[in-house]
Amino acid sequence: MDKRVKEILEDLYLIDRSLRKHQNELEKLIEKLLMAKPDVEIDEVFKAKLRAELLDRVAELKAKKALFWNFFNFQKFSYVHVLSLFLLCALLIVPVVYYLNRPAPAEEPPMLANPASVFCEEQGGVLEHRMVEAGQKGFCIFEDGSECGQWDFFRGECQKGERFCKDMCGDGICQEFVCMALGCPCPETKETCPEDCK
Amino acid sequence: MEQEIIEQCKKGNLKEFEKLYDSYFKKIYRFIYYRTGHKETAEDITSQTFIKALEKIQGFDLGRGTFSAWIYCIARNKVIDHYRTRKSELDISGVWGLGKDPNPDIEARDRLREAENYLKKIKKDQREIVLMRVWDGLSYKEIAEITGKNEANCKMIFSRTIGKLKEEIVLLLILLSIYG
Repeated sequence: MDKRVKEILEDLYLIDRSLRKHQNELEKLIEKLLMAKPDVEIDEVFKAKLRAELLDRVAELKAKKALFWNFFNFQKFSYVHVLSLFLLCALLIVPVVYYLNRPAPAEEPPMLANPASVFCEEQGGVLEHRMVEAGQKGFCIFEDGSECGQWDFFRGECQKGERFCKDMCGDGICQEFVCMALGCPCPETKETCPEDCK
Repeated sequence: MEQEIIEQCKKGNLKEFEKLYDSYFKKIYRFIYYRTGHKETAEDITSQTFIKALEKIQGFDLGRGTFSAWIYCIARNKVIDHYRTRKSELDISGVWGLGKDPNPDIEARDRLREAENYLKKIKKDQREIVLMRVWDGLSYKEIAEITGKNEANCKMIFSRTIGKLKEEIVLLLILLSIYG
């Protein structure tokens, strides 16, 4: 019996012992299968050609790898490497430093106090905002009951004790100016004097 | 020894691959030829197999299997690809059958036809295992690694398939004794 056939059969019996009783048929079958195996002729020219092709490929792969690693070959450090590394570091460091030292976003300037209001309070007045025809207006009210428009007081156009409101409500006339001077801050209106202003 | 060569290749000493090429060229070429039956096609697929093995050897993990099984696996996949890309011309069911040698001698053709008659009767995966064991001489361990099956499963498939084919032989012997 052929060595190869015997080997295959022994293998088979190890898997399934019951096959041993069919040894003759199995031997013939394996022989037939082995005999049907196509004859293969190796073309030595092809084998040599493929070997050369593979060696070319080896050289190609080596060259590719060398190109990559040679650049970072620290044993052969050159000025080009130093310069390149310096540039690389600079490219990384500069943006980081710039980012860390960037100016803080400008803070909103604090609201400046109205100088006329400040001046009023400094002079012992109390600030009061009233609605007039032109809108809201700030008045500085003094202890003696006199009052000035805050800006008039600030500009020196009105002094403490100069302008007093005079209650003229009930005289039958709805008067815008009811004080002793121009710019009087207490006009008669439907709200302040409904008797005169109907 | 082979392990040492592979380690060298993995370290980048690819020149060592030449030794692996010398060890496996014939086996791989035959493996492919049995499945294509065509010289030029077998050569083409053999080239593709070795070039791929060379390019990928640095990623090959010795802990996961043998180099032999790995390179056979590449060859097997290349043969499957060959049939897939040419499916309009070729029948993929023939992948694990017998290659159609265009110029076999008469005796060889008869032997081939007889084997084909047996193998036609079994399933594709059974046929693949029988051919790997009988024609390629691969171990069950290698067959298992190449096909992705369990070793015990491969043994079982082989023994059952041979058992089934044996019945065909018995029938043939009976017929020969009647008409012979």
